[in-house]
Amino acid sequence: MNAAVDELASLAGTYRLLARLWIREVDDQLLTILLVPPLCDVFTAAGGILPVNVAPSTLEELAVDYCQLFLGPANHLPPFQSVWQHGQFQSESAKSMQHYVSVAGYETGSLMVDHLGVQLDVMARFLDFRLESVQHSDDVFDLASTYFAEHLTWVAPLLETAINRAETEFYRSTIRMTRDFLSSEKTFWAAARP
Amino acid sequence: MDANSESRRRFFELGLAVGAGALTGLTTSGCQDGRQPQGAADANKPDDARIQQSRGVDLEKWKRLKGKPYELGGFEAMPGVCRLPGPLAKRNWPDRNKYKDVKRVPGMCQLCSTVCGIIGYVKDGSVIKIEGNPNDPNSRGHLCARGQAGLNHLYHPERLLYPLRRVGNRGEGKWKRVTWDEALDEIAARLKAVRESGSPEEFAFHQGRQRSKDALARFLNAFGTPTQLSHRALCSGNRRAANLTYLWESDWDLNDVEHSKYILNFGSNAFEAHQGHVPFATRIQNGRFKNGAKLVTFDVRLSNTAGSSDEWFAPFPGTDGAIALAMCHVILVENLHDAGFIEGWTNVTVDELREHMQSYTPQWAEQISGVPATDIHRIAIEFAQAAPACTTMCNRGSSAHINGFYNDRAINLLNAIVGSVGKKGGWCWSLWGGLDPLVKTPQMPPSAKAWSVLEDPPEYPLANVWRRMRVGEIIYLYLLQGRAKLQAYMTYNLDSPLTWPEESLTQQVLTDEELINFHICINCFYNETAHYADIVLPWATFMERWDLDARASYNLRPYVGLRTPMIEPLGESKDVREFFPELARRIGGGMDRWYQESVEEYMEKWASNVPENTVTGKRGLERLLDEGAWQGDREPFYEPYNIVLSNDDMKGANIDEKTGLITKDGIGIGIIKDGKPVRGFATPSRRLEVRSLFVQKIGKNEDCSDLIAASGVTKTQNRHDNHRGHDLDIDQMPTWFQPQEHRNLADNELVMTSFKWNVHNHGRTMNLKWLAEIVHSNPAWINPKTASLFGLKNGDWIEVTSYYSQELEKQSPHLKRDDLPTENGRRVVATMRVPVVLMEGIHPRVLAMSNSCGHWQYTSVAQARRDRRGLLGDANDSTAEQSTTHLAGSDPSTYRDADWERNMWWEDTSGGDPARWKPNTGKGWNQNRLMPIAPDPISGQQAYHDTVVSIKKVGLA
Repeated sequence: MNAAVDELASLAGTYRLLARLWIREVDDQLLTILLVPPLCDVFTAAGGILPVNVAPSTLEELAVDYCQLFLGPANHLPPFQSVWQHGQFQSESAKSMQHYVSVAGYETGSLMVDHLGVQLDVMARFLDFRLESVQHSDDVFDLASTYFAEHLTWVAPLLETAINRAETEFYRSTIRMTRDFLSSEKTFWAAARP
Repeated sequence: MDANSESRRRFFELGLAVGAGALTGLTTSGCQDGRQPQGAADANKPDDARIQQSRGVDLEKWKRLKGKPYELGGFEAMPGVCRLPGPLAKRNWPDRNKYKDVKRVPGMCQLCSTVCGIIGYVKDGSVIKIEGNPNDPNSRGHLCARGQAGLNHLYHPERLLYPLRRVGNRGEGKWKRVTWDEALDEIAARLKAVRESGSPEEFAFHQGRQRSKDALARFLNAFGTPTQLSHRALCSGNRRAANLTYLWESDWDLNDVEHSKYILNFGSNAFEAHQGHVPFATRIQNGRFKNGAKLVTFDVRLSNTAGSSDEWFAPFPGTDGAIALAMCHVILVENLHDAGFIEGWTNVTVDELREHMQSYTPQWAEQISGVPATDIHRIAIEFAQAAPACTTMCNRGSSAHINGFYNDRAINLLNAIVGSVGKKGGWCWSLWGGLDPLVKTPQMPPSAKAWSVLEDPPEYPLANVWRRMRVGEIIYLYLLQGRAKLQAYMTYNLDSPLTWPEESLTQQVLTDEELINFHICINCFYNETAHYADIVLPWATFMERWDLDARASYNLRPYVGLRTPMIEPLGESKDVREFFPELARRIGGGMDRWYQESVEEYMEKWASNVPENTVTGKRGLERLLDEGAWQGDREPFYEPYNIVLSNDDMKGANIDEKTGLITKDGIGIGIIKDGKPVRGFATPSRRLEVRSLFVQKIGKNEDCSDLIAASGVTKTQNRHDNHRGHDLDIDQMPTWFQPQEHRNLADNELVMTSFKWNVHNHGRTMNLKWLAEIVHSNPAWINPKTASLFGLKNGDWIEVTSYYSQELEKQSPHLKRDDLPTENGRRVVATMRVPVVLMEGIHPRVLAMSNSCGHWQYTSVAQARRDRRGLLGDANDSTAEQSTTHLAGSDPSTYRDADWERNMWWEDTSGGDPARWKPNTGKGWNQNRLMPIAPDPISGQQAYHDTVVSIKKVGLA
């Protein structure tokens, strides 16, 4: 049981890293850290492809790619559950996310709550909490598994399309990594649910 | 170990590495440097920077609400989606719980120019429905389809959410996100340099539809630039100029149609568009069905207004004025004129009018317009017999012509001749154009002193004398000609490449960084203007920002409406009221002293004079937040010229014994009428100015200071030093001429006209799915008789070639460009291929195409495009395949909105091949590509309805 809990807590780190990568463009600080072993090795082992340096031109290229993929201004793929399930911002899924965000005690500022990055980060939060609340382990497990089913299983069409549209190896691999990770998680949570 | 376990192990290792602290401070919630929680410090930080991870999961909350888990597609009362009653929703429609616990927040629509009062139903922070506000005295609770589609606008998945900076070449379409701080720093540095260069006019602000007049003027005046450009000349310049010539104090006739017996409509499509749209249309119908009014429409096209009229006539384009003059002739000949009004309240005599009208016979008008003389005669008599409860109405149909000023002067004259001016059921106007004057705008910076040829082109004498109407359509040409330069250009809610004439010229100039050094675009959506910007700022929608607003009301009394944020702006979008103060502080140089309050404090101050509602006890902004609008208890403005001047008014006044004119300190305030001092008209003669000495003199750039003083409208501009050397003959009297190119059309030539649909405005609604589904394309309308001459049938394609105006070649040589191709000695504007639709309801010499269509940058819905790029390189992936059979952004495996799914049936899959094109598919064509820059030489109004085109059938492979 403890090993499983440790595993979940460790996976929270992966959720957090992916959340950061989805919420905003990679910057020099993050990229510098990612390029240093052992993180670069495990990042690569997990399917990520890192640029060779953190030159301004590299960062700009990545920022442009992130922008055309997720921010627009045109032909982009808004990474919001509402958009992919209801064709607009702030639909039922946002309402539901608002509930989970409130449970998690999480503040999103002006970032809409059903952004994939927020959803990944909230999951990290739930997994972290599981470590701290051994006495409520079953409840937290129930919370996390329900949350995952409702808010992290919608992503396949977004991720598949985004993989095709990414213009840099870094983002293509990051999106693919997200797909693989969430696919693996989906299998886990599906099997783990009573 | 199976593949999934192996994969999971790799992510476990990655998580361990991250969890070990390598990314401390970088990973969680995107926080990099211990940033502050939301709202704690710097509101300009990127929003992810304000995200913080709060400790502690509230398990109790989870347990409490766990009983009602979110179920995908369930029918809980979830706000945010305005679900149409499609097949999937029927099981729970109507949803009676949907409006439980909603908050009703007032606002004002801005999806066309009419600004109807609205109410947003807000539940759990989302707007779930919009409807008309019954408290709004002008719109009275009505709301058109555009307004209903405000939800599409607010929650559109392709809205701009973040400031963006161009990367690469202008117009290349490559962008990156920047923070508001970065954007404002860069903009401020550029604007500061312009301000300190000594040429503040080289910062131009170019607005599309704007309803935040005070906020824009505050910033621009504080900056010191006069170069505030608008689209008024593309819209209503001639109608306003014609009204001002008669009235001076108002540019907007408010036809009292609700109380009329006879409404004579010259080319206005009030049932579908028009600045008064729904408030006006509902009153027209009330006039007809409650008051027995007759509606007669002259329009080259059977619009929905024409189709709903009692009689419709299709005159030759631009001949409205001739018909009106002929009617005046008939009324005088038949002695049905109101001699008392003419002699008593106009500045001409009946005899003068008779002489002036002598040659304008119905037979003359028939020859020109094609409308039978007998009908002109009959309708003139009917109109006069209904007086004074009769009125004309008109708009772009009569005014958007090279002779539009004279068209509208002639139309207005009908009201003067029958004495319906200012009468109940007649041709009225408001003494105040906007907000009730009780409401005072907080102190504004003084107007800029500099001058710009872009804002005040000397060639157009009536463009700016009474009001700043400008001549919007010439600005890109003048920039190209080197007559002005722009160090900085800020566009606001504008889509000039689509809505301006000569699309190619507009794009050419917007692309050129030598002509426009720096371009900031403020908009809710990426569009054809944003495409050529250097920085794009995401603008808050009209449901997320503040304004006091009002239109000239058809109730004939002023009011005040409130636009208020129904919800917080999505993403990082902001209104100018939020970021202009920040920009001003960064530019410095004293600009910031005009921004001393928060937006809400400013609104409270602005609305402070709204009186208390004795029932609710609320006043000022609090009252407006409650009711949405306030209308004072003034009497309607009938016959304002008969208002008797008070003793206070007359204190210290002088009366001219000969003319009866009353002045005070040299400024006109009234006239003696029947022995009593009355207000009269606010004109130099204090009478309705049928004959205008002023327009003749200002056309010649002569000093008019005496006339301005006599009128009392002292804001009227006298001759401008920068207009020296320019002169134009403007007739004192209403008259009419026909543009040269219309006199002898060749057999293969037609006159092209454009129009608006009831579900669209010109350039901002084709992205709204509910509206685009109704109208999304614009094949050319052509009369079957004409079609047969060209061997055309429905769905055939034609090639249209448009030409510059020969009349303007003569009258406005400054417009000439030598870099354009000629054909038979005529300059060609553009050639375009379009399909035709055969319509009986169009004049045989007219080709009509609606506007609003043909976007190439404005969201996927506006472009009628399901994005297939997702398939590239992965065509075998079944999930990708699925995802691209629906609109970009909708997942067919879970998506439940049947409307969305069906909504793209109009996608054009022909690949641009006319032979494969199917009727009613595609995004349509931008008809403005064919339109030349064609300002009426007097006011500068764009002559959108005069363009001569030649057509030929396109042979299909």
